[in-house]
Amino acid sequence: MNDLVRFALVAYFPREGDLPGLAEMDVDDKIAALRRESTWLFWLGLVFAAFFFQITPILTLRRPWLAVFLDEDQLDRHAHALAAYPSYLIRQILVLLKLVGGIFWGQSPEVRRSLALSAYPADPGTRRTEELVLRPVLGPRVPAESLVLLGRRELDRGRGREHDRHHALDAEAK
Amino acid sequence: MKKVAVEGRQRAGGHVTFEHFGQPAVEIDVDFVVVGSGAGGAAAAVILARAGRSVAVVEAGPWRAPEDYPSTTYGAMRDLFSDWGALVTQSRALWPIVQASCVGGTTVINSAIVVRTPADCFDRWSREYGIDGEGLSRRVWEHQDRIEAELSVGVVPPDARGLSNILAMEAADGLGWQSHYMARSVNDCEGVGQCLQGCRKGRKQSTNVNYVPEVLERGGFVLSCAPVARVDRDGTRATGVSGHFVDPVTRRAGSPFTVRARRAVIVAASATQTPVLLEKSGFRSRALGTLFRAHPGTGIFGVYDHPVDQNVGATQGWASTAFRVDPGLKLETLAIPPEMVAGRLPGGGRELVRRFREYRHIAMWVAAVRAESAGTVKRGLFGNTVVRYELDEPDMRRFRSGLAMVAKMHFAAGAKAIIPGIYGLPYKLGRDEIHRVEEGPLDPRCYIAILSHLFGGCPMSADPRQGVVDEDGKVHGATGLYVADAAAIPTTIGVNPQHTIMALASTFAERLVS
Repeated sequence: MNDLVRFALVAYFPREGDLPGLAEMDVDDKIAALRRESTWLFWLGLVFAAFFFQITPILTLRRPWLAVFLDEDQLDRHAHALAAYPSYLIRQILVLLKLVGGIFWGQSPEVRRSLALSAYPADPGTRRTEELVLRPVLGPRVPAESLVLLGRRELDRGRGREHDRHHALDAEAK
Repeated sequence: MKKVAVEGRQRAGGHVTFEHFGQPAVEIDVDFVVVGSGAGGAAAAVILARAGRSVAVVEAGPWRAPEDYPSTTYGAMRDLFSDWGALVTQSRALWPIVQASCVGGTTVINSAIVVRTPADCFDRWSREYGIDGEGLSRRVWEHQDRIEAELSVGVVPPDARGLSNILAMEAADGLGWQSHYMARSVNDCEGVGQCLQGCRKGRKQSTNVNYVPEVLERGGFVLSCAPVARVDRDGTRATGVSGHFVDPVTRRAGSPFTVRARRAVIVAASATQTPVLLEKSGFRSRALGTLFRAHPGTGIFGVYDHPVDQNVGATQGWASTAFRVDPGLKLETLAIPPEMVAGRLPGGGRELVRRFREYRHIAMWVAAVRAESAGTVKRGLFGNTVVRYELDEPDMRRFRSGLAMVAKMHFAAGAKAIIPGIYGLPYKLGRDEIHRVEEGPLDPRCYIAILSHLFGGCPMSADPRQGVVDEDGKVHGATGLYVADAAAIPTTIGVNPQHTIMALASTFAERLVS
């Protein structure tokens, strides 16, 4: 099952130039974690979508065989064409693949680096179990330098902190 | 302080959650039990607790504080979203319904946008649902004054806005449209663009960082990982709630819990869950599950020559409510993280990756429709929630015109192209092709939309044949049973509903203790 899902996800996010593909991003670990952590319905939907991707080159390329037998270029065209297929139902089946693949690929450190973004810290996956949960204490406010520069421009234009507050709060304000 | 029994011990409130499968059963006696800890449940619970009543808040999801919040979208789906975000409308178009399942509910993952309930909503509720709109509006607005002060409501600070929000303001100014930077319940926003994953800075005032802890401080109980299976009743009287704790990792059921309510049960489990819980619990009303409405929203990407970096700055910081009445739209900015854009852009394979390369240069602005279409929320075959909802043609025309307005804004802001994301249209459109959006399809299946503002299912009406609850939130024909969330709102309101839900729930709770 994991390999079936992997094949489809990787087809949607291949290497393109200097941007690495999902296949180069520990995708097996990610799929294993998803299988372990998601609901059975979510996982079932993903497996079904991956299976559907596998059997549908007949629809997109008129090739009566499984996607695994397509060459690299054909597979790429199959992935693109299926995502834009005229049938809504088929497009919807593919949504889950693109959603999961997009998340795995788009939140990777490699892709974020290409967007001048720092890598995401690890998700803690923790929760409160103590008897008394306290309100959080706020740390010092440190907006990014680029935001500070934009903020100065806003202030220069007279669009300060309480700019148009009455319109913001009251949809009927004239 | 009133002591209550938990497993034979005397406790004066506290947080009780799933610990392990062998943990003892929990039984609690309180004056009021509140099901749900989101905008409605937390606002009601804190009013009751401040009045000195013993309160238990029972929440299906886990309690995650800001330091527990995930950074990634994957983590948000796993740790915060209800069922991995899998709830969709079951109609011709399968549009996702965005809701959280954690202490704080959807206030944890929304943008904390604050808009007062418009007066025309109360007028309409009076006219069409027999509500004392004037009296209700007075009480609601008083509570909104209070809530704004308590939750640090303010306009997005200039140094947290980011370029996407600033461009939207400039575009609207250029077009002569009234608009504003949003007022939000965020304490000194830093503009980290992580509203949708929960604000790890702790600045967003979701209810899990203020009202719910206050309930604990005042001696109340909070049960987390505790999905309510049913409202217990004695004839028509609601006597409490019960269910089993659930392991948030495996979702396996653990030990049972029972919370008995001496005075009332207040259900605030959301517009999609409250009607189903009442149905499962055997409360009957012909209006139950009806008048489900929403503000379906969809967006258009503008493509700019210069980097916009939409994810740097407030996730949502600009809006226009100038078109709320005619044609019935709200325009907003909405920054979505790269991983969500990767899945949302049309296409697949290398072409999709090539398209994604423009991420830094694109901005997402959205239109939410004040839709009149109504659907239903019912219990499915396996006890799950089934939402049937589809926009009718007049609403689809509004929806389409909203997208065309967003397209105009992008070009007014200097975009070189737009990415409409509408099936049947080219991937990109130029300035002279806006008419293709205006004349776009009216089939909802051609659009990628979400339902984020939900209303109804237990609508408020003086007439028990038309509504499930009266203007005090009391369920018609039942004793000691109230609904205090968006499910009670009988119409769409054309603005973000959190402020209305909180204030309405507060008025209901206030009546209970007055």
